[in-house]
Amino acid sequence: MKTKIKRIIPYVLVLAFAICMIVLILKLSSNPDNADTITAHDEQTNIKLSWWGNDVRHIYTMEGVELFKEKNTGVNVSFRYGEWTGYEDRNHVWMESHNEADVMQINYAWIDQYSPDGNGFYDLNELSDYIDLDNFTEEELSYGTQNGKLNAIPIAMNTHVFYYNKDLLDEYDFSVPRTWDDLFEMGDIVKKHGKYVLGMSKKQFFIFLVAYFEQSHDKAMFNEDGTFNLNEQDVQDILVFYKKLIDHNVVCPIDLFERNSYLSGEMIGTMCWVSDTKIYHDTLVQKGVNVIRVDYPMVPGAKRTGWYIKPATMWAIGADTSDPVASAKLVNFLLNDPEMARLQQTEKGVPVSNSAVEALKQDGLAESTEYIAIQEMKEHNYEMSLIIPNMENEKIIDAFKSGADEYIFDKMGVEECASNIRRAIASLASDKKDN
Amino acid sequence: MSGKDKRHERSGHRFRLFQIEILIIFSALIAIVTIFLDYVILQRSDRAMKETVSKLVAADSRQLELNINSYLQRMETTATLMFSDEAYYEYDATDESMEEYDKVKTEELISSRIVDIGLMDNYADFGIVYSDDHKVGWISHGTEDLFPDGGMYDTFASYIVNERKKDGWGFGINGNTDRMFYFKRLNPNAILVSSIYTRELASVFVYPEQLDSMTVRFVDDSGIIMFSVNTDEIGSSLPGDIAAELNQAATDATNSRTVISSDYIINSNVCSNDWQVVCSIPTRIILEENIRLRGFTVRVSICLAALFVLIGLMLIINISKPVDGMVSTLENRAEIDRLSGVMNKATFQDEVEKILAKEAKERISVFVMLDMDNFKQINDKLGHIYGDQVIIRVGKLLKRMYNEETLIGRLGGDEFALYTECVGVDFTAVKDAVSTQVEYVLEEFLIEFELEREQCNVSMSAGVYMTDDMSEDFEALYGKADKALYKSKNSGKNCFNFYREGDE
Repeated sequence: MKTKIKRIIPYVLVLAFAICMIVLILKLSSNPDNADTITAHDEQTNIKLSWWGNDVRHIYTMEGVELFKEKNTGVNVSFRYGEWTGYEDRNHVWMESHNEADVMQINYAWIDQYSPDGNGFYDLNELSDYIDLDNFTEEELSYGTQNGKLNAIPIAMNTHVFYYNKDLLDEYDFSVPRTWDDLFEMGDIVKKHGKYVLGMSKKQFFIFLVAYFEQSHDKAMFNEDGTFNLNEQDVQDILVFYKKLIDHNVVCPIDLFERNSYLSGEMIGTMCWVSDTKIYHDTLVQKGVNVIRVDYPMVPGAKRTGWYIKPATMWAIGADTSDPVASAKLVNFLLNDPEMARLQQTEKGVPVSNSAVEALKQDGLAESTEYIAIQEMKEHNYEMSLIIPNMENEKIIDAFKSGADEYIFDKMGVEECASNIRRAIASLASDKKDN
Repeated sequence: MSGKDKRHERSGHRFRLFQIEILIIFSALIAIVTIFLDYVILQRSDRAMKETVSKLVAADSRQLELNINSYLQRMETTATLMFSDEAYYEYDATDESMEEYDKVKTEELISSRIVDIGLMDNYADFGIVYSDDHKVGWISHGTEDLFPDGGMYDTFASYIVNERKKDGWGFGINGNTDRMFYFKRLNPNAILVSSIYTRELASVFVYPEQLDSMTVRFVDDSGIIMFSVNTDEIGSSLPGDIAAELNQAATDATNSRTVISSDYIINSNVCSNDWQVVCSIPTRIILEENIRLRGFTVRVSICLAALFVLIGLMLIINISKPVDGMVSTLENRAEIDRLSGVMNKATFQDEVEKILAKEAKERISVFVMLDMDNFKQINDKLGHIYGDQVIIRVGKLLKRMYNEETLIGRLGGDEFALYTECVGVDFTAVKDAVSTQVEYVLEEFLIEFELEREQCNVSMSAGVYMTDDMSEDFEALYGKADKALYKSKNSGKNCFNFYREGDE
């Protein structure tokens, strides 16, 4: 028996070794990376994001999108973006052709324009499981509410601000202007040097005129419902004032204004949105110029301030979005995510979202120019109303500017010009509500 | 241990060594051949894989070239739409003779046109710059900031290098790497500028995931990277090793170049504006699997060789046992007399001669011849088979009586011989001892074969030769002992005699 076992042992050993070899070879020959030849691909959902802005905004928004995609695997986000100039037209084409993005940065005025009944955008209340609305006050949400439906959520609050080149003020021995008359006095002086007191874009100029008119006439240019509230005489007054501003070099003609001419000192100050502080204030400071923020010009004793506040920009979701949940997650990320808030900083103004504000407070929000500006506005206790969307309506502003050119360049009398403008704006303002 | 056993052992040891040598050589040969074959196969596989990947890279590179060409073409085509009405392209903002109002209205018209045709693309800039740096359309703040001291128009004009189309492309202008620009001259004082963010190119440079380790770069005509899947590279020069290998493969014949080197597989395609799509993939990544396989096959070869050795050893152990027995039997058959079990004559002679050949200072050789008396009668009376049995019994008797120091041989028939030698002993003492021993043999023989003696009168006669002459050979010893035996036979048998000089 023992002999038999002895004889079998070598064969058992060889067999065991051979089995070990086969197992080893199979193990070595198997590719752990391709354990299964069938690769499962996660289902992807694609949503589109659109916004306008400058380089800085484009870059941090795209970085934010990448961050969002990392946190939300399975959601792919493509985007459309561009400068403000022309963007409104692009957006109009998208909206009217039902080709809008799933998530859109919109202007406050667009809620009235594209969603008069509240159905032009997705009702975000229905997506409150995905968007943390507790970060916003009732009042803040009311800015984006139309006909009881939450069409958009404000990103930041915005208002106009005047920045002056302190070095130039000192050079011409100007004190800080407080009234419109101060501006004219300054204009007469700088005109001799080929400069202007102020330079601003077309939209700001229009608001500038609104402020003067409402202060001087104690009358709103647009009614609460958006309709045009001026008669021909009112428009004539505005036109005359407009021409006076140009003639006295108080404001640089709109078509000649370029940001670089302001930065190079061809004008002493500018009026811009608080959210544009970086490109009008910080850029000049970086060049070594002393810049100060100056209060709004006022008509002494005016009963109306004529200055308005508005949600800077808002996030909305397209009414026809293909994926409301993914879109809601993206909106929530863009508004409330602390990392996104740190990417965005105060580029769009001081954020409205509590969680975004908390994140920025840790990064020194209180020291930012935008934050200080907003706080000082509050301290001055201006009676600032929420802007009437038509005040920013591009077509109304173009109609005014184009019509006013006829008078400014002496192509038409002020009465005829005022009549044309009033008719055009009244029509456009009424059209909005008829849509 | 007897000399024969030692010999057996030595020859068996040599045989096993020989087997193991063969086994090791053969195993090494298997390992070397396997590794060599693997090497050849993998070399061919490397080459084939490089060529296949090279084709894939070239196909991707070509596709990306077509994509970017399409993108560039769209930008160019969009720009040409500004030539749809002379009001757009003939306007000169620097014309001082033109009324301000007309300028404003014309620029409004042009702005409207720019918005219309640039509406759907993500342009960073789309506008017209005039020779006094006045701008119409949308020229971004980012682009404006590149020219804090003016000079925008002159800089852009320097990029218009295509004399026929009056256009050109620009990247890295004043250190900016965010945008790539297209310039189209509208009139002697106006340039249409359109630009896109280089990040936009990510949507153009989409390629199959199979080559996810491939690096795709888009470089301008001076080798500066405008787009790369590795965004950190944007704005820097094409890596030196890739640029050097591309330059070596430079040819004017085609706008596509492929380099297959030990470091990279590179493919470059020149786009419509002379910028290049450069796709590269490190060779080591392509051959990663083969490198892994190479290690695997070496391990397998070594394992196979080890397995072969193990199995071989098992076979050797199992085969060598019967073979050893067989060889031993064959040797015995060759050296041993089959009947008596003692050495045959040839072996006996060899062994005696070997002893005699050994050098020794002093030695007494004793050679004893033994021969049975009347053996023929056993064959005649009891038969040959019985006779053979008697021979066998004689052999056994002698082997029983003598130790291993005494050589025993059967020289033929019933004739046996004994050889031994004594060292350091007195000759007379030896002779006495030999006498006693031989006498004892004869007596034992009679006892052993008592029955046969009664029937056939058998006995044993012996002749002894002793000498201390070391020059005598076997033949001499044999001859003299035989003579002594002859003397015993003639002296009545059943006796023994020592050889004396003169015995014949």
